Amino acid sequence: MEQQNDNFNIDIEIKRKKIRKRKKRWLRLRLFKIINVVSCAMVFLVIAVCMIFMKRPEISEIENRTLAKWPEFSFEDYFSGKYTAGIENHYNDTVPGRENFKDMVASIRGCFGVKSDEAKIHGTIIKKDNKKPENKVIPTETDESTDITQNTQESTYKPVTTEQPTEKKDNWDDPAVEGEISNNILVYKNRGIMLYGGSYENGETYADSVNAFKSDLGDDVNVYSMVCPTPVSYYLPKKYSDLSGSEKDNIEHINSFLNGVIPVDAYSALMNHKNEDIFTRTDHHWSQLGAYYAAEEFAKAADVPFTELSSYEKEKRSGYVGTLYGYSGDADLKNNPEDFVCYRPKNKYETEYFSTDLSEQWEGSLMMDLDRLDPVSWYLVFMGSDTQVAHIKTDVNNGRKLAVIKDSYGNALIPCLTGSFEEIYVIDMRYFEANAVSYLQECGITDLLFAMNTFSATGSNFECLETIRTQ
Amino acid sequence: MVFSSLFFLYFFLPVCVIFYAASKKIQTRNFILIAFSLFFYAWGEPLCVYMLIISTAVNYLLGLIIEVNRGRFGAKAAVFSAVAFNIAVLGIFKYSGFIVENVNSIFGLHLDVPDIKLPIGISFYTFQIISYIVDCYWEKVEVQKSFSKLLMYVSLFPQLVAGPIVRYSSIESEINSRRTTLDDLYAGISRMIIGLAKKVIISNNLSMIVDSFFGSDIKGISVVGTWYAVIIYAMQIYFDFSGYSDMAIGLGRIFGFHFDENFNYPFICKDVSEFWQRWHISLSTFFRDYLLYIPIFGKRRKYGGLFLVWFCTGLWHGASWNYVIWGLYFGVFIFLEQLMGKKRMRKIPVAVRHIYNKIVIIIGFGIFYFEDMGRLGDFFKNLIGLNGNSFADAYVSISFSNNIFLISAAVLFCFPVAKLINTLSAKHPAAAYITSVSKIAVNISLLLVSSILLVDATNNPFLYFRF
Repeated sequence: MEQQNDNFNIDIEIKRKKIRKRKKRWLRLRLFKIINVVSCAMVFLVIAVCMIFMKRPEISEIENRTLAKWPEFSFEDYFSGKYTAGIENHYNDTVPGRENFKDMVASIRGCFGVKSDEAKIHGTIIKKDNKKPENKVIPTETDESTDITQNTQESTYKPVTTEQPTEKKDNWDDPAVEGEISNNILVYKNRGIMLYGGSYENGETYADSVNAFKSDLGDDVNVYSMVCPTPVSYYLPKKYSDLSGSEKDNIEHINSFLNGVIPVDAYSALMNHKNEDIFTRTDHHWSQLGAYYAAEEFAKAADVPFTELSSYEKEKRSGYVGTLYGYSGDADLKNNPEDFVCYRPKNKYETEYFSTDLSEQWEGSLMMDLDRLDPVSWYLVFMGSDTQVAHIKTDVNNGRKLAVIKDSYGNALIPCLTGSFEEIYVIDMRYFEANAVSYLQECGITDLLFAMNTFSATGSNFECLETIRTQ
Repeated sequence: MVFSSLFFLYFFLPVCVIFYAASKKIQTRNFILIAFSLFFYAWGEPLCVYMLIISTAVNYLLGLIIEVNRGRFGAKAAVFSAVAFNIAVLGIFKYSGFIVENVNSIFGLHLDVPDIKLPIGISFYTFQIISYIVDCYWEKVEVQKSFSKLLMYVSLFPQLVAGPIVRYSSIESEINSRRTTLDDLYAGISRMIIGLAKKVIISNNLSMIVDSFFGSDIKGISVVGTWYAVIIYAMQIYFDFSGYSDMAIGLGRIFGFHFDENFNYPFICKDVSEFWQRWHISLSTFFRDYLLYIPIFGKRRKYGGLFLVWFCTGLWHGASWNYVIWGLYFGVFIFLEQLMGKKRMRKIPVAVRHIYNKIVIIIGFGIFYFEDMGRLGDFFKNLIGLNGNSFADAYVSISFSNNIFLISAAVLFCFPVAKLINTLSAKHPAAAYITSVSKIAVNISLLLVSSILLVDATNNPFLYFRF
């Protein structure tokens, strides 16, 4: 009897121990649940408080844009939903410490896979069939005349009607055609290469605009067209060549349509120096060295003196990571910064600036102080902002006055021409608000150079030329 | 407002939860939910929010009429009017443009095509209201006598904008009394974070791969590239939509609601019929319960009803013929499988069944992607190399290796990994501890990584948003 009782008691004891153990385990697991809930809630609260109360940035240096502002209220915007969407966009866009988070995003995305063949593609893969259309047939007289005088060569073209370009412009969301910068970027061996869409049609319209400038300005003014290629023409591996349009073919096509305008072959000039640092690796601009070689070619075509590179004061900075990082979000660019080099001309010159509507004027410098610029914006060393008109008076005395109508590629050219022209006027084709033709005539210019990269000439920027010519 | 935005996660939601938690009485809590839900909806639809309220009011009144006229003709009239009204509203706002376009092309007319902006969530809340009013008529639920409570059901922000389609019957009792226990908070927050991660970490980045192949003219894309991109797209949609459903279920849980599951690992299905029992479950069950009961076809109801359901399923997804084709496409395969019968299907080796249904489903997603018939045609030709496109090229291997870990994770989480881990760890106490502790780390890191990625995506709407 007692034995049975003892066994019974022992059984109960064991059962009670088991229940206690299970309860302990349950409590501990419950504790972990509490910790889980509380820590997640803390994260939510802390981030919410930071986002609501911390100061918000207004510009993104990496993306080269102003961040979304708090929208203006209007009943129309409210009822269409635009106002509330604007508030939300502002809240999401102006995150405190945004630039740091973008770097983290690039690192996170870098963990998604491994590099293949040393190339990474950002953006849509658009294959070009690269069929060249017929260029305009030019008679044996070339349009490049070495004899530039006040009277340019007479137009001796027999207008030849060409067939329509065989390549129908595929407008289906082709970002590479848009403007100056494309979101289709191939990163190869730590170099960001924008993939070029190209458009023979747009190129012809560009040529028409430029020809119209020439005919408006008349024989007294030499007009030049220098469409500058980008890294894709020099550094895109052959195996990926079907990803990009041909800048060479597009430039040749444009040049064949020029009438009275002298083309400047920046393509070959740069090709001869391909192995030098003529382009930056992490930015969509060329380096000043590349601009120098293009300027040299232009000076030959214009028959003006040209200052040798050795006469410039070289300045170098390390740790440069340019705009292509912001556009591609590729950590390889961020992790492999390059050197930024610029050359300051040593001759004497004065620079003044005008507002884009020509109403205000102020004295300034042609080249900025590198130490005052954010590293990602070092390209701004050339003249600073684009939304102004520049006028440079040099110590050259040859009666030649140059006007440059440009995109941002043109900025790096100007310092290289301070030894070639008596005066230089610089107009950004995207931001000029007066009539370019009358302004240039008033300034008494003798030479007009159109200097921009291929993306601008065959992208949407080319429409700016017609606007500033006729407004 | 979308769930995957910093504004929602770190402004709207904390404020809402704080107010909700601060109040104790169910009436105050319900009021808070209505207020925040209407604010949420009005944020995106400042005008159509009134449409939502009016729809609810109409159905509320008709519900009362049904109650008063039980067993008499009035009840039938009321439910028919309600359904007709709801379908008409949906038809006008979503399909009027589509209808007029087709009338124009069939009859050669030139009527003005209306261009009405689709109010977000209308496809979801319309079906929810229909489920309420029909269930009232069938006496499955009691008529809701309080307008505010019905409004709360219709406008509840977790499921308002992109589902799941929550039946009134499933939360009827919770409207009047619910609690949020620790388990609710734990399950709700975890579910929400997982949904967010599915959307922001996996789906958004898969969509970049799809865009890189399908974002422009696809004729030049290789055969392998086309298959690769459409497989990625299938996963993108799954993680996008199921992630959103997870967030909806998680958020509902935080407020004490228990919504039914909307996805059950659809890609592990053995045939196409099973796929649809696991994909967007709330939609297919809605059609099964409410549409198939319409005695239109009589004896031929079985198959006629089937094609009607699939026609509607396709059309529900979008006012464009490719969606209808998509729905009927699945209808055909389900029809064939029903003809085969379950016994014969089971005799086919499992591997063959898997390959067969995956191919059908993947091609189906291609139909879903290309709204333009020309591009859809290109897609089919690309799949078998009829566009003069190469079989393979370097771009697929570059894309694949650049994203290999992401894609592997996506494939892995198509399987019930979490379920497996939970089952295993339930058996061993040590494993249970490890799992519980790791879940804390997983939750926090997924939340942080998702939030960081959201900084980069200022504009980030859900794919099913046009519904």
